[in-house]
Amino acid sequence: MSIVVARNHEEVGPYVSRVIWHITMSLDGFIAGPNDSMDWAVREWSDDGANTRDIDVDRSAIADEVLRSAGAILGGRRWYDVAQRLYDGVDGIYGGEWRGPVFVLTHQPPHQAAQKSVTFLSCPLADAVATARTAANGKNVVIFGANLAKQCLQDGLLDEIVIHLAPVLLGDGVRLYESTGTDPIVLTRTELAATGQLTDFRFRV
Amino acid sequence: MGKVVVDVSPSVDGYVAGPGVAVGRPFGEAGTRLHRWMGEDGFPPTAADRDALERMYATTRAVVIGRRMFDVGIDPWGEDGAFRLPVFVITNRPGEDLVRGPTVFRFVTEGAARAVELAAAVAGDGDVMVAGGADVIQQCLAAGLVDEIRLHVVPVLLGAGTRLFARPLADRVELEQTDQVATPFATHLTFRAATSDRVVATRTTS
Repeated sequence: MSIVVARNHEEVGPYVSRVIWHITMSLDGFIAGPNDSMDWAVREWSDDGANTRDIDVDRSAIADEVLRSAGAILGGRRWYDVAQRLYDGVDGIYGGEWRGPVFVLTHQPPHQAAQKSVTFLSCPLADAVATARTAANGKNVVIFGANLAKQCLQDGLLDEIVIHLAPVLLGDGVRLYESTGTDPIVLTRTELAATGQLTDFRFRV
Repeated sequence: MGKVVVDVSPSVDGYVAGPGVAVGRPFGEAGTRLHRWMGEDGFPPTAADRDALERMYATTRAVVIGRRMFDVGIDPWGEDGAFRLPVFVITNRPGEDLVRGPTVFRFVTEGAARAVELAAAVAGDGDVMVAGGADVIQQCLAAGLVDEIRLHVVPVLLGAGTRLFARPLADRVELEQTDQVATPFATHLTFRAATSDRVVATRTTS
């Protein structure tokens, strides 16, 4: 199956399904903390119920738009395993609000049956993106996982990056992007907002 | 007394220079783009970028930089030394003051804390700007010398080079965002410590 991926939104208009990497990132560039922790990316209350850290991606209008316009999720294997182990698997996606199909690209699909909404794909990346795009049925494909996103970026398959920047230094974890010997990837900032203490960025690749 | 402000232009993925920094190539391969908003890299800054730059220097009265930044920067900074302020250079090689028009470079061999102290004495009520490189910024953060971090985030992924934040920390450091300004070439963000006076990013002992 081959699907022509439109690269230029000005030419084709906004209705074309886009491939979006959607992440929360610490100020020092980590999209997951030590031991894949994400507790730095959520609200925090004191004992007397006061909100001590105004960090709440759910409240971001840009995050909400990404969720509402998404038709499928394509994740990497490491993302899937971490989500299974720590974050209620696919039931935990977008705080439990995700109802659509989830595709996981992996060389070795797990033996045990997955939840009905999960499909394991063992195919070239472009085919996996095309499969997710077909399933999204005109809506967007959201990418989860730093490795998968990097491959999408380098193969020209990614259209947008949405980053919620949290004002915290973590010191260690999974970095947004590491790639030696490749050309810089120039982005265009298309949206910018503040949601409490979060900075919401939307970039076009 | 003014503030001690880290001020630096990282890529979205947190690099302040590309790979291959050398004299004649102060930001390495592809890194010059990070300073386009300041009018470098052959692009005239837009009015909004120029406003951001002027705001950044408006309260700055002294600058602290590292030796490496001085070595790769001194030629491109030209006849006036670019900063037009007293600049304290952290180095292990003592040297005479170097005057470039309105800019005076002073060489400090007693470490980052001493350089910031000397700069603060000159700055009076004004601010001290810690301008880089990344190692000097990390030393100042580790020593608890920093009141504010100003990042001019440039929309590019470099993937490799000099990281702004490269050291493991003993604990996570919570910050508070106090300002957000968008200009065509960068997004200007200001942070201060959330729970104490100073931003303290302590390294783990390993």
